[in-house]
Amino acid sequence: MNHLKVLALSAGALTLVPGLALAHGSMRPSHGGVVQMSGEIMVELVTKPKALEIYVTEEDEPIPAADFDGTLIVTAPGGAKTRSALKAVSGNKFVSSGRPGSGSKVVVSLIEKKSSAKTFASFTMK
Amino acid sequence: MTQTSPALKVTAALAAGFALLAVSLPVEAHSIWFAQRARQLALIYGVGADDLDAVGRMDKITSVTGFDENWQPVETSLRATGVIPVVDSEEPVSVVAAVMDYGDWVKMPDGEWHSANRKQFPDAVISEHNYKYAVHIKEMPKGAIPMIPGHKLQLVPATSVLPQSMGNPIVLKAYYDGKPTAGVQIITDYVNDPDQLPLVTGADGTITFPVRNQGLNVVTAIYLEKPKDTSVYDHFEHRATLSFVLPHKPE
Repeated sequence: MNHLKVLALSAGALTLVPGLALAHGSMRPSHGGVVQMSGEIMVELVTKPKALEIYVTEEDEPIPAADFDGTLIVTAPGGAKTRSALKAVSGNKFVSSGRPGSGSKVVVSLIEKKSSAKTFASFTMK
Repeated sequence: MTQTSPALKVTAALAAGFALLAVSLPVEAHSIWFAQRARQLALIYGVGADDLDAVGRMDKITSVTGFDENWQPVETSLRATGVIPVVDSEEPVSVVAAVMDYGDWVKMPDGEWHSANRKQFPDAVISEHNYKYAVHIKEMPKGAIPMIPGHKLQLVPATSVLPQSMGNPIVLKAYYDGKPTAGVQIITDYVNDPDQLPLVTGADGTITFPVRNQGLNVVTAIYLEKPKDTSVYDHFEHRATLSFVLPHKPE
């Protein structure tokens, strides 16, 4: 009987151990940009002199940019809002048609073509 | 002598308050609320763990609205994806809301419900018209959450910040017709405990209770409006949910 009690207490102690937090991919940028996680998709925004580059990954795996319709929504500090298409150039990379000004709020909107599921990631330009 | 932690004292005080406030009114019918499904925000129609046919009831949705962090409207709609209606917005939303007009319902002496009113069924023991509302907070907007047009009954957080841990008290205020309203029934965990004895809002329309889940919380408010003329309807049932998510530990 005592053995059973010990066994039960041991099992209880085991179940009380905090669960290990499992990471689902690295949150480190791969191209020197800034990253945002949206659901399971990691969006990395890289600022170039005349454009933005956007890279998408899921659990460290690149996702084909061609699978998405991408839009860049820019809200300038004064409140003016513009939308422009993101161009899927290769692999998991999109490129914008221009570079938003400092202080602008930038939303990367991705619509998966197959499911129409939407993913948003928000950034503020430095 | 044992010592009681401040948190336990708060919990004990709240529990005592619940006992005084709890009422034993029957709660029937279903609610609508928002919850995440496959990374998307979905509209759910059901009760408890019953996630019923919301796509088939999309024609009863009379409005879907979304607002950003500055409470600027964001073009928002529902899109049927297979068996689930998901929120489709042009930009990220902080708060999304929906209204459903669920129409006339009568309960007959044999216990069956029909979509009709007492004009068609004079023998009905209950004749009502049902309205359902849902508000989901993805993130608290910068200012107080105002009344949303079309939401005759609405639950609003009384504070600018939501608790971050289950068990911590949350203060909500129930508004009917834009005014804080006493006597609104509150079910604090509609998904996991739908048969809970409802609490009721106090004189100032507020209700305080410990947040139930470190995850999705769906709080339901129910208010029965008495019509001036009760020959056709005994009441109009207004049923509003407020849903929000407490975050889990970082992965």
